[in-house]
Amino acid sequence: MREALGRIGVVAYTSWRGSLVGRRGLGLALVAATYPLLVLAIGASRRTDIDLLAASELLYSALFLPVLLLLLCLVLGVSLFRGEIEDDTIVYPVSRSLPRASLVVGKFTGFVVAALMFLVPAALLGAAFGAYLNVDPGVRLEGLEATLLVTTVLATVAYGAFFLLLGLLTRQALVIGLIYGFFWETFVPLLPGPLQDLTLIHYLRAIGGNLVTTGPLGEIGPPVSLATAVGVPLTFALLVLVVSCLYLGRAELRPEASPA
Amino acid sequence: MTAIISAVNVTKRYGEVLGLNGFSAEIGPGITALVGPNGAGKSTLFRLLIGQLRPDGGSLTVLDRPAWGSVGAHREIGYCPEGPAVYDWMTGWEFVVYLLRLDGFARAEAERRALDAVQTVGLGTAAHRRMHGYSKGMRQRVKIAQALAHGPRLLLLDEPLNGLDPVGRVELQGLFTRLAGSGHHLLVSSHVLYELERMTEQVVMITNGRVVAEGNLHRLRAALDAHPQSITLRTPDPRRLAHLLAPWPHVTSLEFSGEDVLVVRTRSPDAFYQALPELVTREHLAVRGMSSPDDDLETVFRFLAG
Amino acid sequence: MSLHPPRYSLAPPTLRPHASRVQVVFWATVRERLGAMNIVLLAFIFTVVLLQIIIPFYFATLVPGLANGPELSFFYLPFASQVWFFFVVLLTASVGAGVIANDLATRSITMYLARPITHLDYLVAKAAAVAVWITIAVVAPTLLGTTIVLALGYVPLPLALQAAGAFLGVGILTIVAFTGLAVLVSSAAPKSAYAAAAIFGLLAGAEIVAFVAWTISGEPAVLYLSVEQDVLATAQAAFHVPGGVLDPTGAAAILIALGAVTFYLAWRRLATIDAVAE
Repeated sequence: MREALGRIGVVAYTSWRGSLVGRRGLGLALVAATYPLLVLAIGASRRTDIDLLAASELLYSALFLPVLLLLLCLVLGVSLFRGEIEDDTIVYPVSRSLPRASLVVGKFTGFVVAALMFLVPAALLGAAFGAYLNVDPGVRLEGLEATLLVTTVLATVAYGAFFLLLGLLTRQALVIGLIYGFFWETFVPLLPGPLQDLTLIHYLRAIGGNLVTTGPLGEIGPPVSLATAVGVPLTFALLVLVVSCLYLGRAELRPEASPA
Repeated sequence: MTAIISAVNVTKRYGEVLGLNGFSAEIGPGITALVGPNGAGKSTLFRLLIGQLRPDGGSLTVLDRPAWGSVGAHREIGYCPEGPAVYDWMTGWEFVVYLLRLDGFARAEAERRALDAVQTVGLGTAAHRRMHGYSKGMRQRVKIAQALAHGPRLLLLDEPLNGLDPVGRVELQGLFTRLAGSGHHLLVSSHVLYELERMTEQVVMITNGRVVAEGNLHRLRAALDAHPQSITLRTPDPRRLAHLLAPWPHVTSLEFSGEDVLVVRTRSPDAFYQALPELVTREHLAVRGMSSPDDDLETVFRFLAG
Repeated sequence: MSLHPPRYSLAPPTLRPHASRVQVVFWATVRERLGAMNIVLLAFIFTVVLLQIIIPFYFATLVPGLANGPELSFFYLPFASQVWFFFVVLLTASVGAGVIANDLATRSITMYLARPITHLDYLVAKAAAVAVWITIAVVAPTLLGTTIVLALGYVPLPLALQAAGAFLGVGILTIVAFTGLAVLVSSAAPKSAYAAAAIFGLLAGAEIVAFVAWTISGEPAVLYLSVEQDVLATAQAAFHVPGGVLDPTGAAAILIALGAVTFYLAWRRLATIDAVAE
């Protein structure tokens, strides 16, 4: 057991390093930093007619969560396996005596650490700017930090797991991921009826509805209980990871240019 | 002979294309050369052996275990793929350490083994540079290093000498020969046939996904009745020698090439080699040199693979 | 003994002109992007746009005594819905992301630049190929829809011609901006996957940022940051739709400038590439 965990740790560490190498780390940081920088820019305008705290919540809900976080998870998540298959470096880890399921768990763990390294500070910083640069500085919204933390972590885990699986399944993972992220998760929640229950963002936004009492984040319901809002994305991520492990265990990993 | 690799009617399809088509062979201990033209199915076979691909038909076993799904067996197999891809952002040494740790080696042991491996393949100080800046030859060396580092019983080397300079090629051929001598088993593919010949006489020839010949190179050559083997004899009296050889039933032709050279073509080289010394002694002939220019892998390959 | 060079009796071959070589790269790139995913996206775009053009006119014929009959503003519906724009952005990312990035990643750009093809030739050919695909998505379905409603007798010829002209004008501005952005990002990203995400992020993300910033600050000028808003502003002016918050001339200038600047930056970026690498 200890050896198995050790090997998973090696994969996780290497996956984390690989996610940050070169300009990738800078790119991730810039994407995540867009949110707090925007809040800072609005705060720097010293407009007395803008509730900066509410603005930061709105930006989190409308920009950070459905765009920045999703894009970051998409690019990193899809490339976990798709990148290696396209580069034909996947042959190295699978030719070792490492169970393929360990490879999935290890890569996912590395991804989550790398993504949250940027996303959590960005989310909290944005809220901090919103609170302290506000016209009435220091007005704190109870439950806001917890909301941002839980929502960011859950969103990263859920979307990341899905995009990891997508990268395993298809060469068109990125385009399909964009359609899923920016069409399904954006337009479907706007439709009335039960269809929005099939989107992750419906549950992620409901976390704010449960933990925060006012402001844009708190105004979303709560349509579902906190347990459901947390449980659905977690369960989804777990199921998707299990499917990924099972799929990779049986999958052929053909090089992109299959020899004749 | 215990087969290290046993393939029975193995088939692998890529859509409409047959990568392997009823491939059957038994590969024994020591070094075996896998020879075939481009697109014959050599790389496909390697990927099946390492469990990256699943056979569509037939059975394939490696070290007495099925090739597909036996992840634990990989501990005893080292694979050097044909392609140049490596993790560009790692150094060569880090790359080998990483893969060793995937095999379960503790950090200190992995680092020590990695250092040994990169030194064995002659990577030198380049081992601590990022592989992004590696030449083809360096990439090849680091790929071989990662295949060796965990001390596997069986090495699967797909074109391992690609991109290496002539000195490097000779060094690594020597390494492979030493490994075979110390009890390792190697399956090596290459297009440079004379280099394979230097390492081994055991060959498996593959073309269009099928085995066309397997076994000892010289026996294969001798068995090619349709292509009599040429033997060149240097003697001061070639005409007299030709007159004496002409009645032999397995001699198909005699040709004079220069003042003291006779080229004999025979369907049965073993019989020829057996009978020639007695003839020379009895007739007091002087034969100063003998060679067979086409008793080689390239000739056999050319005749069988077309 | 002296050596004499051989005498050739054949005249050296005449090289085809520049334009011919650019055409070869252009057609190869157009064919290269011809994949199932792009065809599906195009089919979806055609379906959405045709329905959005034809259905309003059809229902207009069902309403008795509709004041003033069908108007130019009826043709604005494809722009008003976000769906068409979303899929055009997606197609741009799908077609444009790898057009230069793949050549850089596989070092096959050496294949081009080691021949008598300049960086500019290469870039023009690649941009033209991307522009063709975006044209098919942006202009073709709208012109086809206009032709259909004309053929069905829903609109008179002058109105149809006016609509076609408006679609063409707005379409050209969109193509210029999207193409320039796509080739710049593709030339700068190390992998086509990153380029696709960046194209999408810049186009779709800028829209959301601009919209949210406008909602918060009430300043309409921030909407100029969004390419979609600039396209909408020019479309509103072209189709005589009231209520636009942006100056259409300014928006059009931004789109043209975006296309020009991004194309220039892509050219400078390519000029720094070492064509012959280890």
